[in-house]
Amino acid sequence: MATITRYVDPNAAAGGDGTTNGLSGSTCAYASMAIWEAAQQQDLTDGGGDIAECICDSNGGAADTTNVIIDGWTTGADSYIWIHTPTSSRHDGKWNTSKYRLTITSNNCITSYESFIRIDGIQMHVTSSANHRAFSMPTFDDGGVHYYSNLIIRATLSGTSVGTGFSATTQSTGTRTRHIWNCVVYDWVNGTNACAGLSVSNGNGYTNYLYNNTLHNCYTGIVGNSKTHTRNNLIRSCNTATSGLTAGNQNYNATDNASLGYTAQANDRTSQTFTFVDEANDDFHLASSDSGAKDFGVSDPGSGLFSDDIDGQTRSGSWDIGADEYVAGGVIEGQASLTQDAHAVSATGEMPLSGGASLSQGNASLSAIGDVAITGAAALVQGGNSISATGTIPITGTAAIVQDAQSISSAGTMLIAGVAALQQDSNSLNAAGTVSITGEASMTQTSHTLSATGTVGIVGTVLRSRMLMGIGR
Amino acid sequence: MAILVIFGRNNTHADPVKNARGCWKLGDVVDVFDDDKPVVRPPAAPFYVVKITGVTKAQVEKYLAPETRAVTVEGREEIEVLRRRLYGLSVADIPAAIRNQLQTNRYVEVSWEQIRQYVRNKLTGVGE
Repeated sequence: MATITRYVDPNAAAGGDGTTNGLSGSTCAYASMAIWEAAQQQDLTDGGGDIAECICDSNGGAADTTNVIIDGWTTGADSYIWIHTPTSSRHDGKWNTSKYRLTITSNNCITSYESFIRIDGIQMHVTSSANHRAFSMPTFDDGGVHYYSNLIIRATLSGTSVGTGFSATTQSTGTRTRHIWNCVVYDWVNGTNACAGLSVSNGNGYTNYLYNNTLHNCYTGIVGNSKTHTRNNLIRSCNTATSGLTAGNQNYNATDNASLGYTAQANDRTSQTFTFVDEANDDFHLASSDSGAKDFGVSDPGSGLFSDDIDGQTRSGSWDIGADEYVAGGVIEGQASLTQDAHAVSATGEMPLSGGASLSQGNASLSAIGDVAITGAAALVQGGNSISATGTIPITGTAAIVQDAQSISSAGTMLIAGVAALQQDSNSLNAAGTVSITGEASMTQTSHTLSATGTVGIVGTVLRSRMLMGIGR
Repeated sequence: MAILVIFGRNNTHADPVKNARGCWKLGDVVDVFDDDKPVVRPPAAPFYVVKITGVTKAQVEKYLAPETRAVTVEGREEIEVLRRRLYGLSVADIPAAIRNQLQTNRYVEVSWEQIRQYVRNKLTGVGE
């Protein structure tokens, strides 16, 4: 038994043998997944069970634009096709044009006739005015098992298209199994045509397990059969949440619709409000303020099948519903240090620096949707760009913050307390709430304003220089 | 100019349906690229690479299309694949000088006029 590993990169020269991820030379990556499929088409069972591993990358940002048909192979339970991206260069949970992606016009992305296949971490975009799919499974032998995970599946449909994310021919008998989890599926809609995000019906010859998927702006989110089992799926802005499902096989799903399309079970959630990080730009990560999906799922719905989210972040506690597990961003604590020279540090949640942690940020912004908390003996040195937080920026204990050439702004309060020190050389410091400098805290602001729409409180043996402007002071 | 990646052998499968529908055959066009795509020379087996002047990538993309027919599944029209490619390069029929280069170097540069008649519709046998 062996794993036959080959690489695909649309930036590679044509004609390599795919044995490395290089972009040139005789061993360079295949230039498309279609070329990989042609080169590797074989009987994987003849040697006792081989795995055909296809590692897809895009070191240069080019898209793979050739549709793929996987057919003519022989596969088995231990002899399967495994297509995936390397974890280090996978999409970041939202459509990413610098990562590997199949962008196909007027065709399916992948059509598979093989029975044992695993596809993980790929981005797919179908643009079509006809009935095209991200995955089309025209035949699927009895006993076959498919795994689809961490995918981004989107569409731009027009004309008469009745596009669906998945499709397969009808099989009324037998046992074929599909596991689909942590996928973000969106824009499978074309007026009132019967488009769908995850269409996994096709008769009761299929048993489907759909866990922790996020479906957004599809005509119908999930189209299933009586042997479709769902948990932790988030279905938003769809005309119909689901159809064809048997109520007893579902639970812990959530939708903004008044109905899930079946009799809601004890832990299903209807008429919910979901808050994403940046819905307008198709970023469906849960925001820290979400109250519709966060912590409302069931833990480990696949009984060990997976334990992370679409970003590879470990799920914990009561899992979140949908493809993303909300994790507070940027925790730097203890004696840890982070030195970041030329790129932004950002967090969709809070960014606490605590204990003896230090963050040195050379020339790009630091931002957090929640708080930036700098506590204990933590230090933040920010060389040439702004620090901003939609929450508070408390600097407490013996913490120090040095900000050389750009602004610090907080939508909440800005507290400088204890013996904390803030040195701000040449730009403004703004807080929507109060700015409090207490205890033996010091603040040095050499060449720009300090303003607060609330009060600026200076208490104790505070050392301060530079002009203060406080509304309501 | 366009670059065609051509399958250079006949794959087979014991299942006659899979053999006809899914197995790559000699002359099938696997992928096409613009002429600025770098090419490894010689290309790795089982591929030939043919660089063609006088034709664009857009003009040769149709050779990637499979032979299909429409079927109805659950009331929806689906597209059923019958064969990997509707068109193929008839390697056995191309002029010996070009064929020899292809078989020796796995790579050849030709004009569209030199080769178009050997790019044939598999159903009709008619060249382009």
